[in-house]
Amino acid sequence: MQTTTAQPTAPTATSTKEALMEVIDLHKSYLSGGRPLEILKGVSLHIYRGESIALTGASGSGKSTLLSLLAGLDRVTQGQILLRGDAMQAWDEDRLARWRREEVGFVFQDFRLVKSFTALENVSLPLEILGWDGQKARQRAEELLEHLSILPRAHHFPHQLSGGEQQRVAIARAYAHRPLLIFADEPTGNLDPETSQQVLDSLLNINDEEQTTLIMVTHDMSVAQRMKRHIPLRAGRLEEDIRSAKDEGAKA
Amino acid sequence: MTAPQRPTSQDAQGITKLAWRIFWRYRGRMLFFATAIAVGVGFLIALGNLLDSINGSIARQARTLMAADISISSGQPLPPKTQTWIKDLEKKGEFHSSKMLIFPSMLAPPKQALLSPSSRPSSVSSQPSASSKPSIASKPSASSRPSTHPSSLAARAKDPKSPSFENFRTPILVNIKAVQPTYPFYGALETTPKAWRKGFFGHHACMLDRSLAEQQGLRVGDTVRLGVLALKITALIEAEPDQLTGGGFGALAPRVMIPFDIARKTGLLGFGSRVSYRTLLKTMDPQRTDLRRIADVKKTLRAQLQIPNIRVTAYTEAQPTIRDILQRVAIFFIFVSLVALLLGAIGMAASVTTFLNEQMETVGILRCMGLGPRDISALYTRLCVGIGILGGLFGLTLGIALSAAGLSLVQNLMNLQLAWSLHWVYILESFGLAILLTWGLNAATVRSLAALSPQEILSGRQSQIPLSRRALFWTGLALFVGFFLYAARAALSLWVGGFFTLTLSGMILLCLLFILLALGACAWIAQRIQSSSPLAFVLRHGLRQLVRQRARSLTYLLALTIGVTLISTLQILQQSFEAEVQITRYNKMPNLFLIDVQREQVEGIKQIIRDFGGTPPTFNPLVRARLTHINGKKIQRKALRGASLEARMRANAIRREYNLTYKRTLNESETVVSGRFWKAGSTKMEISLEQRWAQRLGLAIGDTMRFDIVGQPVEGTITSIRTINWRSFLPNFFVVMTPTALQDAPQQLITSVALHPPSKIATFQRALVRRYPNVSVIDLGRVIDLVRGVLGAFLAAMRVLAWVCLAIGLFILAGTLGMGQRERREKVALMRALGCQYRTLVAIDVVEFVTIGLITSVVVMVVSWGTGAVIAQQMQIAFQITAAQLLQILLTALLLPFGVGMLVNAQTYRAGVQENLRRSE
Repeated sequence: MQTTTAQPTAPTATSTKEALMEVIDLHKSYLSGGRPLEILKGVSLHIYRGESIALTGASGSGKSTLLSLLAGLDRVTQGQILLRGDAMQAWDEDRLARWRREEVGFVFQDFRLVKSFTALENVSLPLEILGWDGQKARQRAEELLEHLSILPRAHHFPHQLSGGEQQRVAIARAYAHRPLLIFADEPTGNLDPETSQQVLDSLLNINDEEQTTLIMVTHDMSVAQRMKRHIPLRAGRLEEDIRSAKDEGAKA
Repeated sequence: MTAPQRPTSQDAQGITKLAWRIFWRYRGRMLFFATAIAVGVGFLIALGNLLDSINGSIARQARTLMAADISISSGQPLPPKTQTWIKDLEKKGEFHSSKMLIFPSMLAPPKQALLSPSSRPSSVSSQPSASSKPSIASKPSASSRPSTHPSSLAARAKDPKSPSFENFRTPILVNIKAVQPTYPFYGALETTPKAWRKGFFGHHACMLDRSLAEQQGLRVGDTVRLGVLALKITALIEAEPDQLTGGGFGALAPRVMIPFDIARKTGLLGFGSRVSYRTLLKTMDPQRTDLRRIADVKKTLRAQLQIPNIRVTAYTEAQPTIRDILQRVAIFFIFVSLVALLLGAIGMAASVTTFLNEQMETVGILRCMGLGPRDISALYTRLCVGIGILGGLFGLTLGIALSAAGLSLVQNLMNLQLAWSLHWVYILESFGLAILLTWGLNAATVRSLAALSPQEILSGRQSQIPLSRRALFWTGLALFVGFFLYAARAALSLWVGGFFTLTLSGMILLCLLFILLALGACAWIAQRIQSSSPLAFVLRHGLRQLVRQRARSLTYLLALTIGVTLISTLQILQQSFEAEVQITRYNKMPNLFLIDVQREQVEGIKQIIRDFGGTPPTFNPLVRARLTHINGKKIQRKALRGASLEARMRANAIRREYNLTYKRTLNESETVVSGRFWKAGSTKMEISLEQRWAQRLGLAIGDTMRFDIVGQPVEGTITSIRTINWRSFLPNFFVVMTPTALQDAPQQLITSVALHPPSKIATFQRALVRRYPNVSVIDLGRVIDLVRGVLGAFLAAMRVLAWVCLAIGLFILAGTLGMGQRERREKVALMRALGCQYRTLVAIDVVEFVTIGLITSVVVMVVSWGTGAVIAQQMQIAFQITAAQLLQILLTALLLPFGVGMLVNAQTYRAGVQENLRRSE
């Protein structure tokens, strides 16, 4: 059972807490063929700690653009994104990078592993960027790989791993530094249904354990349904904000 | 089961269209690939065509250069049988003949000639004045016939009993040429006044070289004394067609021409005189030249004339010899062009491999759409052929331009009438070479790409085209053999071609070995840097970035090191060569040769040289001799038809007349490289030989040589081998003997003097001639100017080639560092997404590029030093490398990859995460 709330996000039981991120009237346009092409047309929402959110919508609806703006990978055209009340558009690239380094993890549809690094080195990478020493980073990476059942493949290079294995390495990398937020762009989009379920299980399990906020772009409604919150987009606008009964119940 | 179908012509057409589409889509890169090989191809084509054009022009002028179709040259008159045979040829209407005598002698100018021009009659009358007309009434008796030996003539000139010499100064050395009215058969004798025949033949007349006339203050109409005859100067010689063939020692002396009929009347052709007897033959119908008949006549003459030291030359023979010599002169440029071609080929192959790697996805899709491995192979082979055709076209265009420019330069330097032409062979060679290289070097990669299954490609299991070691081995071997054959053909010598190929291959293998070691060391270091400091992070990732993409790193490090090594080697050699040439700019370099000096004149001449501020001279005795025996065996005349240049040069070296010297110590331009030079007081019959000359004759220490000196045999043993710096312009000799062996032989003295500035030379000459009229002064100024001109052009061409190589190297660098640009973009985007700061990413790349630079600089310094030293030894130049040069190499190798790398990646650094991710897809 799901409950539906109309846009903009109405205060719920969850919203009584302080929002981790606030998105206010977000607009984003690109120049296409010399003309501005508006992708997002006034999106507003609140994101709370520990939530798992599915952003769905047809191709071109703006879900990936919204994800990249939330992650600070791109700049807004108009509107605001507040992180714990702080306006992110005022941040310079270094501050954005520091935030991503310390509090954000990414999972991409096509894995985006460094091809010349082994699975272990890929998972260690965010820790190394954070300044961990090699030995400690390696230990943490091994823990995660073991947790995701791919430790035997730790010294394999990406091209020696299957798609599912590669995505699990990517998940381990995203969680390695215990981020507050995970942004996942269609993490199961390149996988078969069975592997897709395994990867999703891994992602949600680790999310539950680490109490991380997960924001995932997906086409797959069955995947979206497993999230605590489902936000479909249509033509650059937030269509509705659906919370799962389980989540509602839990909050109640 | 059905057999796989062969592609139909329609399929082939489709593949060609697809190849063209890819070619056009990536036209910018195709242009780059084609340009990379076009430069080397262009230089080779230019050189080949230039050599052919010069050769062709010389061949067309060969008759003019000999003034005949066939020339017979001998140290004695032709046997009666041969003379009769030649007369028969004339009677049959086949050939004209013309006789000629060439001999060195002494010419006595009139006393009034040394007066200043203002004190002489101003009219340039063609008639001698009555007062200066010498008495020629009394013919010399047989007993008073003078010898041509300079010392006896000089002595005779001072003989007070010879009243007819009163009006003349003591003679000077000249080179006499006595000609018949039929001379020259081809070409023109240029004189002032132009109509030289009138008043020359049938008269006691002569013509002088303009430089001699100017030196001695002589004019047309003056009377000079030659032997016992007084001869009127009827014209001044500006240019003679067969000047190049009038060789010998006398060629250093100025030319004097006299009518053939009066040669004997001079009394100079007695016993012991050194006369070259020449007979020139010309076919009666030169429009329809029967080359076979000329060859037959030459063959018959050679069969009849089994006399030592006789030479029969047909004009057709001049061509291959000149071609061989030109080829040797051009060999350095050919090799540098081959290096440019190799550099370009490496750059092209590395860039095409990157391109083909990027094409993997397209190939996967095309395979899914039904194209088989054979189709893929055909598609990319056509693409390579297309690149080859474009490269050939560019190469040909460049070659034509360079060859035309080169011809104009050579024409100015050699003062030859040269006609430019383009031979179809070079058009074919241009396209053939370019296509063969693009196809040959990429064939293994194309085959491996075609052999990949679509699944392997699309699943991402293969991130790069896997190249089999076997394919690499065969490609390398084919390249090695091809290079060797081309170099051997260009050098006209298997040994030189082999040396060049082996040096180059050795250099490449050394580079490879050093790079592998360096990459291993980098991997080891990266593994051991585990600290959490930002610097450790940057170092670890910078090194990891380099060593993890081993194949890619190896490719571009190899291309880079080979490129920079070749450029550096070339620059080191160029500077070593320039340092050698600097010697010729040194103010103390001799610019005058004094010949025919008598021993009693030495002190007086030294004083005059001192007065004029010249360098203190060392006088060397000069003894003329013929080699008769080597190791006790008499030298036999051998048939040389079809013999190699080496064999012909060896035979000529054996048969020619030698100028020997004797001395107690070596001069500063000589270095003993083998054996020991004798001690000052040695009484043994010892010989020291010049190294190259000894090699040409196949002589070594311990061998014996016997010379004939005016009928007397003189034999000695070779006890040392020397090298000579000929650019010193000091009097040097191939053969030096102990004083014991030669001091009693008839001799004259020779020396060289440095007299600067050159404006002093004319006054010096006059002062010297006034006191010692028998001494001839040869001004080397013109020779030195010519040598400087040629060397200047040579160095300029070397500099151009070095810059071309550098430009190709930079092209390759940009191309190779651009390799894996997609992956670099993806990594930068990912690292940025993971929170890596901009400066950290740049620092990681700086570590990678600086490491590349360090590896390159170390490898380049070591290998180019070694290669330069080996080649310098082969070129016989002193190898010089300075700290500044080493620093230059270090900085070039260090900064080039850094600069170009940062430039190539600037866009990646500037782009945001999303843009880089998008571009890397």
